[in-house]
Amino acid sequence: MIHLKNIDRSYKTGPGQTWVLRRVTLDIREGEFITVMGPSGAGKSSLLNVLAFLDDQWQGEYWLREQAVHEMKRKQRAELAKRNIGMVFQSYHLLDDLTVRENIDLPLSYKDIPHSQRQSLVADALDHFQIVAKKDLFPSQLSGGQQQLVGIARAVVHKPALLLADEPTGNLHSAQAREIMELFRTLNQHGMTIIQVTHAEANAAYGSRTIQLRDGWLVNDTAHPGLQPHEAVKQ
Amino acid sequence: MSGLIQDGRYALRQLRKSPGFTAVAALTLALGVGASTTMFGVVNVVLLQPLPFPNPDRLVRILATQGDRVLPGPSPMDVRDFADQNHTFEKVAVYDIWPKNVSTGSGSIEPEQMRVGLVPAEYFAVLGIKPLLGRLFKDEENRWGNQFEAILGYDFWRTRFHGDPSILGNTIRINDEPYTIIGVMPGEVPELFGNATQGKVELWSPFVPYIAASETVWKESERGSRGWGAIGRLKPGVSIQEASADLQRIARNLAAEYPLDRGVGVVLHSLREERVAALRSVILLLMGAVILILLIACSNVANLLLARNSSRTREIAVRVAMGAERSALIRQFMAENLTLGMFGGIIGCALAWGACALIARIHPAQLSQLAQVRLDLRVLTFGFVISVASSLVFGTLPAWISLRVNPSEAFKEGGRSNIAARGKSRLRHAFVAGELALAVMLLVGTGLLIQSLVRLQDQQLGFRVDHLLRTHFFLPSVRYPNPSSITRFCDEYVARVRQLPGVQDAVISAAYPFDDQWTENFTSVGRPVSRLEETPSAAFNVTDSHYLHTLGIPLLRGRNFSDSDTETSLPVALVNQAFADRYFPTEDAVGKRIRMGFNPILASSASTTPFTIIGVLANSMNRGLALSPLPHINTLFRQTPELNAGFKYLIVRTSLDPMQLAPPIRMQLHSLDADLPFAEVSTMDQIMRGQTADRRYTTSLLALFATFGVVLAGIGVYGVVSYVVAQRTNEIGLRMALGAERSDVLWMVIRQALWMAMVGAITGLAGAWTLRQVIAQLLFGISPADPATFLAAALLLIGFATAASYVPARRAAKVDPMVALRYE
Repeated sequence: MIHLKNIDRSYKTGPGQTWVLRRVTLDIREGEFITVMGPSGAGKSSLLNVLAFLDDQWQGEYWLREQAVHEMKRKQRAELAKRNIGMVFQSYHLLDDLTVRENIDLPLSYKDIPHSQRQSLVADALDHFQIVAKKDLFPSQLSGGQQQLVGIARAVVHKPALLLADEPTGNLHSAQAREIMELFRTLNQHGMTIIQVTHAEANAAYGSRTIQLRDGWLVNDTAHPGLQPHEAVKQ
Repeated sequence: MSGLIQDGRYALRQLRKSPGFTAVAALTLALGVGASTTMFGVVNVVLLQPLPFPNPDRLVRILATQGDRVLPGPSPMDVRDFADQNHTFEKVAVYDIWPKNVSTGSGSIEPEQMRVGLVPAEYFAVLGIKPLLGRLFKDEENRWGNQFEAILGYDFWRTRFHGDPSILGNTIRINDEPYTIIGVMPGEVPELFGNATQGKVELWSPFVPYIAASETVWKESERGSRGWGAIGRLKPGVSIQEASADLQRIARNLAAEYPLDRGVGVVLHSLREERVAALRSVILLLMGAVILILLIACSNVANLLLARNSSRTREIAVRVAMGAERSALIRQFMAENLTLGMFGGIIGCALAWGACALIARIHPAQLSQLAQVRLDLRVLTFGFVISVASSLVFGTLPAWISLRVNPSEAFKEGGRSNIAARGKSRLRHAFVAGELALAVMLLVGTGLLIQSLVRLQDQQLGFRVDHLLRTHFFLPSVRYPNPSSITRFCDEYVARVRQLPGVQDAVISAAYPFDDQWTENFTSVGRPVSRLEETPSAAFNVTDSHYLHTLGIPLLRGRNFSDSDTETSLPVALVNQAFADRYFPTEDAVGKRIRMGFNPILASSASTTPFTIIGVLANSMNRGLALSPLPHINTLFRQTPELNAGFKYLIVRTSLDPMQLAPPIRMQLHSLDADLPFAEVSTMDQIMRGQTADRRYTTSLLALFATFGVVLAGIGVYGVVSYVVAQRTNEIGLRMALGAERSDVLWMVIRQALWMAMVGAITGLAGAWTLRQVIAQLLFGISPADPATFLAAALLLIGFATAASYVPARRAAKVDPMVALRYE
């Protein structure tokens, strides 16, 4: 589903450059549940931003569902992301001024979908995540777990093939975190490819594959046990 | 459609979320929109509304010219020839407007002095209007003896006859003579003949302007009698230039044929243009001023939006992550801006409604059109359009800048786009500097107009304005048929007034300074002119021997009029210094003799008795305050029977409040003749104030607008400096922890405001310099590039901007380093 080849990402810092991703090469198949781990500053969120098309200042090759993202223009990338990707954030990032229903509707509102169909999709999501009763509440009226539930509903309402989650349970207590992870497992079992960034081993256990990053390098991949960072450099 | 509704709903929610921001932004916009809409209401009435006649673009005023001078109008004889010989006009009409004594009731009711139009039948045909009731005048009614028919104006009919539909055939008395009412005109006939301060025309009678049967205007000797009104309606498809060429051809032929027409040309003015020309520049100046205010308001709101949008970076990033394209985000932002603009527009239009009503009620008499200022559909549409346009002006750039968000940066805790922040900061400062520049331009304009007004009012008038009362009366020819009867009445009336307690002196005079509109040709005895068109002219007045003493005009040389200057003694004249300077520059004017009228040989007219100049007076302002005095001749009416008409002013010098003496003077008038109106009662101070009323009004408006502009710009400075101080709290805390004194911090913040103010001041001065010609024609006695005014405006604004930054600067200087760094 995803093929990354020699992805580099750096920032200019004064006269020099700080590398956050170094020659990351990675293949991800449909239906995988991947956990990205590593210490702070390892490049986990940077990798997720590249995968989510939120960052377009990288070099290398990125193929999504056989389409060469690195050759696309900005508008084409945005179109591809709208169709295929959903995103869940650690801080939920719900819009305070929108109700639960409107927050879930947000990604649909940027697609060319008839109003009635949008209403139907939002109603399905509310029902599926059992938050119908909360639909007219604003985020500030919800608990953290409920907010993240809405965040996930928003991320999957348009039925993306790929769900990206950046520390999805980072702000939740353990019981809520377990519920969220169970939800992810269910979504994955229904065929959704999931890539999560986490520090928690317990969360990683829900995944089918774990990759480790350190200083921007991909240093470990459970699908390729023999991978060594210097080998990656050689690649 | 649902997207638009959703955008609108979210926009309302956003505005409700920040009521403080919404209120400040909407009120700021309302001020700009309100001021602009109000001024457009004025522009709409004064400049844009067509004349209320069919095909008004074909209506022209016909004016005579002599050299470079434009005279009020050609003689009736010339107008008659224009009408007969032209190929470009449908109709041409001569007319005039006279104050007359009009009585609508029985003899026990005092007549009123009213403005009566003397018009031929063609007058209304030229305008293209038909009577509401009755008929127009017939040609034969324009002859002496047949002229006793009257057509009432709509307001006169409504107020004096309660709109009685059976009024036709009734009689009213005009100058003590019965006139039969033959028609009522609709309300749209406006004042077309100049002097708005004297009021509108209330009724019309046939064009028979002279008071005695033997003195008809339709004779060759009257061909030089100019000063009448003349209007014409062009044939369809004829331009003013073509018609002008046509009449100039006729004028050349007339000049070749008649000596009195030598050197006299003709010029056409569009009737509409004639009405708006004098006001256009001042109204456009004020319109420009309110547009500057609107721009300042827009800049302020743009700055508020930039500050508010800074806190929406994460929201924008979320929307981008959810698939929002830039166009969708801009649409959302613009929906918010439009909603804000609409709020501002609605409040602004409400303010404009109140302001228009105020202007319609309170305005100087010279600007009588302002009575019609109101918030009609066109003005409301303007308010709506500028509200929308303002939304685009203030909203587009902040929205564009705010959308320069890097989502991956924005999602980091504390993450901030430095590029966008720097861009916003620069833009904020640019907006404020721009506001300050516009405010400086307003200040320069206001400063120049205020100084003009002060210089105008400080003019040496040449007479004492205080403690003077002026009234007007007209002696109708029915009861005062000859000059001696007029003289007898005047002498008796003024003698009685001089006896009243509180009266120091009194004079009866045909004219007085400020209102010396009577011009006469004359020749100096011993200095014959060879060509009629070279005959000199001067302002003229007939008065009595108390003129100088009553008005306080200094006598510079020679002697004053005296009681020994009688009907039978040598006719004498007083001239002013301007007369002496122009016509006797190297000799003493005293002792010289002048003869009124044209050289009888050249003009085929009767010779008149020469007047001996007995004294030279100091100049007094005889053309209003803004123009230098004209040469002036004063004679005694008792010695000038041929120019001693029934129109007279009584001017009284009092030791009390002049208005206190009006009732006893009125009693004296009515004890002599109960049928004379006691009219145009006013103090000279009021007349003097009336001279500058329109300038005071427009200057006050501009000063008000400049105050708005400066205050808004000050709010802009305050807002930006406050925002910057809030953003830099940690930095300021750190600086203070490292040893910065409070004064260092104070200066650091104020310095930033000073920079913006200086950039704004320099830009504004450059703008004012560039636009100086716009205001030049409205100034008196001061250059449009007056350096002192420019400097004062710049310093005032820099001072104000510094003061506006002082409060946030003090707040910055009070930052507690421990508290500031704890949040780092």
